[in-house]
Amino acid sequence: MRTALLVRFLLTIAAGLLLATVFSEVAFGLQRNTVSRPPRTVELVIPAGTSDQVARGTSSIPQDLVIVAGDTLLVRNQDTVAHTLGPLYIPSGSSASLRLGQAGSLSYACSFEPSKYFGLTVQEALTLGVRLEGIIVAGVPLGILIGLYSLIVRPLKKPGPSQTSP
Amino acid sequence: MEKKFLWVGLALLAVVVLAVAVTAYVVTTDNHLRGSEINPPAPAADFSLTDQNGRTVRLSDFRGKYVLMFFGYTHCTEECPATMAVLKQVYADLGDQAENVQVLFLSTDPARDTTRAMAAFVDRFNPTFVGLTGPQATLQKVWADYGVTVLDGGETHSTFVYLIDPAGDLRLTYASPTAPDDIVADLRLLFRKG
Repeated sequence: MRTALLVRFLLTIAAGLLLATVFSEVAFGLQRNTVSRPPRTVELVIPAGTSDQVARGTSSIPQDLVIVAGDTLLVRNQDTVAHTLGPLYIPSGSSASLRLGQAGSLSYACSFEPSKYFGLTVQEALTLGVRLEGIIVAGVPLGILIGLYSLIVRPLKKPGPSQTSP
Repeated sequence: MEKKFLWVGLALLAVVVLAVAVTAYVVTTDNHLRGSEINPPAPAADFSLTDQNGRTVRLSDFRGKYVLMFFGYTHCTEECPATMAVLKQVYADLGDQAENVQVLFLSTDPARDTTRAMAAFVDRFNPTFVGLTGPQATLQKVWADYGVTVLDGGETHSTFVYLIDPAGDLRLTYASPTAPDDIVADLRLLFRKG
């Protein structure tokens, strides 16, 4: 009787996990504000001579940047003056790095073109761990609920006298 | 049979407790700085300006302390008081350790930021905060040294908070909106590292 109950719940939990996999993968597929890669370091370089270009008015603001939550933005300043780029202030000859933990869209003033804004979009990282977590969190309770429902709809057969354990 | 289930349950409980303990250890020993880290730390450009009491103050006067520096103007009603309120919270959260930290507020609007206006502004947040102003030409050099963009007569300006270490090196910056928890966590980490 106990073994049958255990087998029933293992099967329904497996079914719950399968259903959760299908639902969550479809949901992730429909959600566009995610990137399927783990966080990493995104490196940019401000080359020497940028300040001269800024003075001549020939410098242009970098393209808006899209990165993943958990990425580290690292900017190396090879120019002779300090620069600001997005959320970073980078002294001359140094580098600045920042780990961007939260998803969101931000805009910042930038030393390349002070009258314009630099857009930084931080997207949610969709890693295998996040996917698995979603499947387990949704699938196990779903499987248990299916198991309970199945016990109501189709109760376990009571063991006969020969199957009774001592 | 019942005993077997009891042991399995206890083993599962032990695994859960161990997992929680390991997670708590990892979270509480987070050694990552939360601000934007300058590497290698850059010498913070020295300056000489006038504080809210009319005294001449240099950045180098604060060697031996951590300095939190912010640029703004006293007539500001948004970013500047919001950031100063964050720095006030940092002071409060640090408790006794706040004596190792000095907040400096530097003007982006010297025409209106008189010493009297500075005194009224910084006193709203913490009487130990230092408000600094000076001639336009002097401040322009300071703005340039710290990459501060000042437009519209000082009303539009960069909003970084700069963290300078006791040796006078720029270590971290914080972009707006700045969270007091981030600055406090970083300062405590730097205090521990010495």
